[in-house]
Amino acid sequence: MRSTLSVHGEWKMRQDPRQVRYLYAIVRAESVDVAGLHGVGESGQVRLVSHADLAIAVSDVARDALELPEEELSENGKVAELAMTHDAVVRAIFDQAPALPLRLATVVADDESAVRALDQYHDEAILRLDRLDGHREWGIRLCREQATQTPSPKLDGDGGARPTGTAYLQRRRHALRAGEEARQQERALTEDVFTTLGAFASEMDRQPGASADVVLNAAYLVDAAAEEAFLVAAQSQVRALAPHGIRVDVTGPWPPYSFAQLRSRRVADA
Amino acid sequence: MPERNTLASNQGTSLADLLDRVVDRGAFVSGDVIIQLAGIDLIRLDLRLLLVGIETAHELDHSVGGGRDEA
Repeated sequence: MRSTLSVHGEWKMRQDPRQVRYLYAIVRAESVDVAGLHGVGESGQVRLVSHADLAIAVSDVARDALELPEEELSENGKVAELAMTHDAVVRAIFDQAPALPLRLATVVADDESAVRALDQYHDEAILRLDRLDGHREWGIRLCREQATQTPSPKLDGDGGARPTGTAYLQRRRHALRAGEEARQQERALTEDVFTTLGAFASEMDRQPGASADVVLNAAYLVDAAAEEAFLVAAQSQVRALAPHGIRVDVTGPWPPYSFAQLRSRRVADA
Repeated sequence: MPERNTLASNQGTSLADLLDRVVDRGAFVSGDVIIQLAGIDLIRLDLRLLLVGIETAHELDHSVGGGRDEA
C-alpha cells in the first residue's frame, strides 16, 4: 500500500495550487482498491491518501470546476451531477469495506490537509468504522397521503337549518378536537413505527422531514444478518399504515450516510 | 418493495432522497475544509438543494399554499 503522500508520476498536477482535493470517504488503510474509480474533477481519478491505519479517498479537482452558479441548482444541473458522482464513488468504496462517507463537497486544499483531517478524527473514525462493519443504512419515510384525508363533517346535525351560535361553536370545537385527536394518533403511529423497526437495527436516527407531509424521516443502521427481518417488518408497516392514510417509503440500501458523524474534538480554534 | 421513484434515479433512488443523504448527512470534518463552493454559502446551498429536491421528486405532494416555514 502506498504510504502517506506518496507521489506517483501522474499526480504531478497536485502541486498546482488551483487543484484542490475533493474528499469522498474515510476507510481503514489497505481495505479498498480505488484503481479505476472516477469521481469529481477533470481526470477525476480517485486515489487514497493514507495516514496511520486510516485512508481517505480523494480526487484532484480544479477550484474552478467547483464553481456552482445558482442556476446550476437544478434537477439536471451541476449539483445533481456532483451528488450522483459523489454517491457513486462512495458506493464503490463502501461495497468493498466499511466506509465513513463525507458530506457532499468536502474540499480541502491539499493532501496535507486531508492527512490532518485523518489525524484529527482518527480515534473516532476507527470507532465508527468498527460500529459500521457489516451494516448498511435503510431509510424509512412516512408521508401523509393527500387523497385519504377525511372530509370534515361540515353539514352534520340539523341539515340545512341555520346554525345557532352555540351549535356553530360546538361543531367548531368538535372539529378541532377531531383534528387534535388525528394528530395525536398520527404521532403515536409514527413513534410506534420508529421504535418497532428500531428493534431490527443497531442504530437509528431521525431527521426533520423535507416537507410538512413527511411525518417521519428515519434512518436505520442494519446488520446484514438482520436485513431480511427488517425489510419484512417494514413491509408490514406499509400495509398497516395504508388504512391510516400514511404512505411508507423504504429507501436503500445506502452507505451509512446518516451514521458517519464525527464529533469535532473541539480543539481550541487556532 | 413499495413504488420506486424513477426520477433522476441513481441505482433506483430519487434525486431528492440522494440529496437528503449526501447534503445533510455524512461526516462533516472541520479544519482545513474549504466549506464554500465558489462563494455560495453552503448552508444556503443546503436549503436550496432541498427545495429543488422536493419540487422535482415529489410531485405527489402538491402542498400548495400552507406557507408553513420550517427553516
